[in-house]
Amino acid sequence: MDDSARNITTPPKRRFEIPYKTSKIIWGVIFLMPWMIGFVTLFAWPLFESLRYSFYELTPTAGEITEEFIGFGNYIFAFNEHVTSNSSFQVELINTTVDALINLPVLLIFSLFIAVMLNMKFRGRAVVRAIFFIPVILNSAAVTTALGGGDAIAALLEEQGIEQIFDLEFYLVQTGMTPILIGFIVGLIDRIYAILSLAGVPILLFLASIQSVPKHLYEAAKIEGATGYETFWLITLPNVSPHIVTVTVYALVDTFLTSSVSNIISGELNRQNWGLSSAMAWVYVSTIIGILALLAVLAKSFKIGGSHYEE
Amino acid sequence: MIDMKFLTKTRRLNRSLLGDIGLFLVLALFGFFSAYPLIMTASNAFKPLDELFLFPPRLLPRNLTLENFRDLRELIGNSWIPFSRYFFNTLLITTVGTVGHVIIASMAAFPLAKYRFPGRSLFFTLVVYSLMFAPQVTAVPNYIIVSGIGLIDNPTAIILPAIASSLGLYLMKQFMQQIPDELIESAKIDGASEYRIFFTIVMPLVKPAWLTLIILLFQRLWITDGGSFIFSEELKPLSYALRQIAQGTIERAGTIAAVSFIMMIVPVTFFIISQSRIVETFSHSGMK
Repeated sequence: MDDSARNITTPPKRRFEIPYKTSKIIWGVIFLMPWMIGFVTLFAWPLFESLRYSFYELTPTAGEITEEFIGFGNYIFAFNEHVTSNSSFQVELINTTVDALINLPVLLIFSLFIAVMLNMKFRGRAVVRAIFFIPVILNSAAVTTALGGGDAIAALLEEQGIEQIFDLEFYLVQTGMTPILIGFIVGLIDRIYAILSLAGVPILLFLASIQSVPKHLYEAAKIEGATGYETFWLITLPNVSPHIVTVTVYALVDTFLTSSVSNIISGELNRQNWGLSSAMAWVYVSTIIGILALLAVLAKSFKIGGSHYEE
Repeated sequence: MIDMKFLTKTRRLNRSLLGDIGLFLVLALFGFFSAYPLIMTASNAFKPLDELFLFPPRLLPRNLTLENFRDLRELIGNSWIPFSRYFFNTLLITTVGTVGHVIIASMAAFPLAKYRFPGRSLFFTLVVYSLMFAPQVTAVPNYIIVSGIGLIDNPTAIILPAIASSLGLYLMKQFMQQIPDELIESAKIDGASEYRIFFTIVMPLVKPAWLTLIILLFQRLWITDGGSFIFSEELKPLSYALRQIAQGTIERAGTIAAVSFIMMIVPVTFFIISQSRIVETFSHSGMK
């Protein structure tokens, strides 16, 4: 009696049965492995090498690189002594950080706003979306070189005293505006360009995240009679909020990558000051991590981020 | 007819027509700001040489001409390596890099988003940090490693790092996390293997995410010029060849405009195609 009852509850055992949990782990490893291999050899390892380099003075000699340990020498040099023709690493780092902090909230709101609009149904919206992506394509180095028309055209323009094709500031001064207002307008337009050129990818990310919001939520809201305004605040925003973190990370990194800090680092790299450029790169990476840590604390106190479904 | 539909729809959403016009104006204004460089490039490409140097520059060419493209074709025809070779190199790098990265990164993202295993969050934190490093950080050690594997002067030297980048993993993980666990569990109960769940349930659901990822990767790889990894002329990608052309003097200005136009129009077209795919696919999502 006892035996037959046990037979019903426990299915017959196969010889090589793998528990569900173990099989899940095995599958996880299979899925992760190809990426892991590439990541470790092509990223993690170079990364630690570069951290090591930042404490060394590297000089290329025939066939190999000679290393000389100098402790924090590179870092101290980067902060205290490094100068370029018209600026220095320290100044540019501070400027870029301040810029990034000002641009970030504007960028987030702007790109979410545009993404919501581009998600509406209208004719030719793929084309309109493409328009907002153009600055990203333009930002890439190869195109800029081509667009700049080589150095020849720039030199020609400079010769004629035209450094900018359209000098807004000059034009505004001529209209007799007060300098404060002119400064404001010029600054605003500069910032619009800066933000537009950074917004391409955030808009795309937000668009994709809005499209991933389950449609039935919107349907339900519509049936309950929610207005467009309410739908945005109660459905779109909470569902998009995990991606705000993604966009923030991307935007911050992008700001630094297109900044003059990045130019200084590449410059040192090309001058074969590899130790110094590694140290500078690590400084700016720590800056980004610092900013993100700060934002993470803020986000936690405002309960932004985290998956909407996991709670 | 279409206008009427539009109106009834807005009324149901309780939004005013005036508000819509306002939104449209804002969109148009920023759109113009964004599109201006492309319009300028396009019109420059079709301007005769004398008009290129007009000041102030005109937005639209007065005499449309294909002269610039003809010059470009002539230059290309005279190049040492057949031009199709450059094009093939770029095509190879872009396709293999993009497809490889999307598949491998998505596969890696799936367990990170949906499985529970020790060290998961630590691993993911690592990925997030790795996103923050500029390519310059790892430039020198990366070169040493790539040359150590023996990939210098081989397109693989560009493709492999692109495949191994952590951008896709991060992006896909964020999106896969939003898929309800119930969907995966019910597939599991119906007897689907993990492999099948991934390809027939998870991937279709995050289509907007990977179409976006494809755009980002394509854009990144399309402009690659081989850097310090490729030095054989016959292995150089297209953007390198076009840049060589663009480095000419003033008499090349027309050709340069044509080159910039070509370099820009391909990613833009690609973008439009893949974005319109998103529109088509999302209607049959499995979330009900």
